[in-house]
Amino acid sequence: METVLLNEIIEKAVNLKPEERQKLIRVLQEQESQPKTNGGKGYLHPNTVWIKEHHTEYAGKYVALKDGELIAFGKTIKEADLKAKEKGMKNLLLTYLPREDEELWGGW
Amino acid sequence: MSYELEFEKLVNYDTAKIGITISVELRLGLESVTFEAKIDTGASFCIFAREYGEKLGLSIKGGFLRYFNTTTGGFRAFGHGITLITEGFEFGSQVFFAADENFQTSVLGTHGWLDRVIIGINDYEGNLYLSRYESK
Repeated sequence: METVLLNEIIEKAVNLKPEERQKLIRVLQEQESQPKTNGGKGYLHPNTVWIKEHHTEYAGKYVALKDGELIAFGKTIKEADLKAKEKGMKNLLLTYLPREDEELWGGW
Repeated sequence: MSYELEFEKLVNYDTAKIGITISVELRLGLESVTFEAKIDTGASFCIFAREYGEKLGLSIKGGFLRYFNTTTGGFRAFGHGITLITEGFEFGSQVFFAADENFQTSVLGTHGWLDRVIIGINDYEGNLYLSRYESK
């Protein structure tokens, strides 16, 4: 990126309203937390990477994840959700991790 | 004995379309994509056409591979952690994108959507009552 354009972006960012600046910071942080993979052909969210690496350990359970880290888990979604909330965590990914032998259905 | 439920939203859906079809937004960082999906209590997870994941910039094949059965066969799909938004309700969810580019059906299934909301359906009138479920 040319220095002139970068300086222009910085100048505009400095003059943003507080809520606009917070939105910009959030978006940039989210972008930074998404590692490029597959030879630059696409992104994998850190939570997806965690699921791929740990799904056998937590198979048949629900997990609450934040930026690629396990916050809580449980036998039910309620258990995992409440444990995560006890830790004061928000904006989590809450998901079920199926067992290897579990039959999944794609719809009626 | 009778029971009462209160809902935050009433969504009017088109009964001329097959199935209960509502608008879905997927978000990943700056990128977002909006399309229609059908509510499907028979789907284990939310499963979407591959093109929507690609529009978000995801490495589809880099996701969590699972095989899904149907009454007529089966298909492969890749799980990804993203933000799922329906009718203003937003939550982090693992959704699946079909491996096959020709797979065009998109469904809101049990894990990742139905287990995060409360719904009521009056199909005669085309009314979907919807609330986000929050544990107390």
